Amino acid sequence: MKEHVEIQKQTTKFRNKKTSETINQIINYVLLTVLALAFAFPFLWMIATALKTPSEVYTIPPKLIPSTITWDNFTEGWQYADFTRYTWNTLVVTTLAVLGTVFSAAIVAYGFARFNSRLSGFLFAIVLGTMMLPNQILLIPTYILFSKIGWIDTLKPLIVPSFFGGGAFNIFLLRQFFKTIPKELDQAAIIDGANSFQIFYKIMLPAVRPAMITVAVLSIAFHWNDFLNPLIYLNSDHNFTLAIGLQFFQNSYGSSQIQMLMAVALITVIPLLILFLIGQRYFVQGITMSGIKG
Amino acid sequence: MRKLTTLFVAIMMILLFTVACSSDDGNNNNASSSDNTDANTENTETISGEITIMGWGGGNELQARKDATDVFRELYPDVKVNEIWLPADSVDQKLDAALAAGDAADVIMMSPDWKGLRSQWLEDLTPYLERDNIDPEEVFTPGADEGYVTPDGVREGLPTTQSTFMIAYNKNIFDDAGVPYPTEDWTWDDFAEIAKQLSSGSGADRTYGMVRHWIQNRFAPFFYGGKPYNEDWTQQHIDDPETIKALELIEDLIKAEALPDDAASESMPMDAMFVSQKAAMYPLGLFEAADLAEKIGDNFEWGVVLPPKDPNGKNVNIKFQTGFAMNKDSENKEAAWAYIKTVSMNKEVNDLYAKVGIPALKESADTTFAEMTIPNTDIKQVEYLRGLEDAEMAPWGGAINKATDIFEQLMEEITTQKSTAKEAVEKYAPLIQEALDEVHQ
Repeated sequence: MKEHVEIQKQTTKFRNKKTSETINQIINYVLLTVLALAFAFPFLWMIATALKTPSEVYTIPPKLIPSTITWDNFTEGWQYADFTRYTWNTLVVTTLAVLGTVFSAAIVAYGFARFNSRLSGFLFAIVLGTMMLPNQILLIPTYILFSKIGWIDTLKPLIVPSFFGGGAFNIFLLRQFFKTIPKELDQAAIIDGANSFQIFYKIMLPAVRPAMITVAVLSIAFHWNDFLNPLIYLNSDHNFTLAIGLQFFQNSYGSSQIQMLMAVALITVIPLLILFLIGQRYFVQGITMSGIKG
Repeated sequence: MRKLTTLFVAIMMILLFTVACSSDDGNNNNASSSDNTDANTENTETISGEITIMGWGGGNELQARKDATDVFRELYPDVKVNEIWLPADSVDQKLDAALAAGDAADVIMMSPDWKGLRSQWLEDLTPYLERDNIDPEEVFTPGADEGYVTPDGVREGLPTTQSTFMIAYNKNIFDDAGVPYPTEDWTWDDFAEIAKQLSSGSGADRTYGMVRHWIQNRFAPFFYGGKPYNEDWTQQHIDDPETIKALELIEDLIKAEALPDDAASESMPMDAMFVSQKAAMYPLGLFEAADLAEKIGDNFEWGVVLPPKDPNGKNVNIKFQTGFAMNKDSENKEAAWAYIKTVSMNKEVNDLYAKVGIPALKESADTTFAEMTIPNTDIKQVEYLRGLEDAEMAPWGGAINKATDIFEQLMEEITTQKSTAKEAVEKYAPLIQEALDEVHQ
């Protein structure tokens, strides 16, 4: 009898626990769905606007689903300026700059993580100090430099600097990641006869893949969307990037063809979305393991 | 890992190849000929070499600038023109960098309120006009050529296009409120009365008499015949009784909710507020007339009227002007002058401009422009031309940016109802004076 009561108690407790877990789960899902919708709303609005006629863009109350769906914004928007050329330029700049950033930042970070000297701390502080300098301050001196070596109106100023360090934040992120890798691995490789560079590319690089992918994703997003640097260094229409091209939808007085702007912006954001979806597992892992939080 | 290294080497090679093959021809101003400002007459055959021009804009406006450049190419086939056309945003930063590096374009698009004016960057165009026997008063549309000459007589540019404002009004809202449509003899007191009569509803359902457009702050000092400062920018006039009265009108309209307050005006773009029939009136610049007409579509009936008159009987208006100037450091000044002259005075070019603004050339303004209507409407563009002659130059921005910022703070105190117009003027007028004094130091 006693045993029976005990079993009943246990069953009730189990049922209550299960019910409370289910309720918690429902609340979690509702909350997450609401938040997801809130965050997705601007994107949904962008899609809706891209499919609207100009006269429907500003109707009150706003309509998420257009009464007349038009695809003309995509074709007319794409023809509004040379977006095919802009896309190609953006691809070239992004691909090369990202490769430069990832490899050069990894080399510098490896140095800071594994080679100690009396000046290491000081040098690393200087590297981090460059993060405090706003880009605007560097614009005129770097413009003069690139102008003197004849690089204005070429893609070089947007690509080549990436091969010289890759940016303080990326160095910091990778250095943190390198530091999590046991030094015993290096020592074992040294015993096997590996030199520093072999240790770097045969042992360390494969181990920090998630961090490298994180750097790559951040770098892609930066270079793909960068407006200021292309604006400063590029002159000719055939060299422009997408970020500049999208601004042409706005005239001198701020009025814009918003439906076409949204349509072309939607096309240009798709590669980034796909990339993020593919790389998000590594991206999150890289951010978490390096101890850097947003 | 070997694959990774191979990939890296391959990418480096591609990079070097790309770098080696990139063109460097975009920015060289190698004038091969005529840097001679003493030539007596223009001769398209003797002008040659290379020039770089820089301007900004978007849409049809930008296309008109490009087409104008093609006309120049046809007229001067021996001149190679490098074009730099940028989006309107952030042009100043690029120009600052290029001027600092000494490789700014030979010809630079500008406005009379632009910060390059009254600076040492631009060539005085007076000798060129005199040499070619050009009398600007005869050639240009009345009101178009204002502001390009500094008080000490230096001509820093020539006009190309202008834009003025009309008040667009929603006929449906006027009809529903039983208010007659405005006519061009209305005053600012009439305007205030009408705006209040048209306002109705509350909260999200409020319909306002007029939107809060960015241009209104520019209009405000002129409502009752006042002005923000004197002609040579040495004395502010914000604390004149006429100007204070004008600012009190804004204060009154905000209090009466005939104009949206700050929160309401930030809830949606102002053109959207008019298009969605949440406001009865909208100050419509020519530069956005076609866009607005397209957005309105068949949603409602609308019309335009000149802005209200001041006590002197003058319809208050603001003009935005765009012209071209010559870089003092240009290495091919003859070609640069030929370009400026062409895009400012050539009939074919000005007929192209008529699609996007009031052309500088009087002949084109009076014929081609005057006969056109705002696209998709039967509203004649000539109404905008009528507003140009008496229009005030855009009073803020450019070379007096600091004073502009202070004036905007003054207006914000009024529109957020932190201070009355009088209190705000007492607080900010001395600061505006200090900012103007700094311009002359």
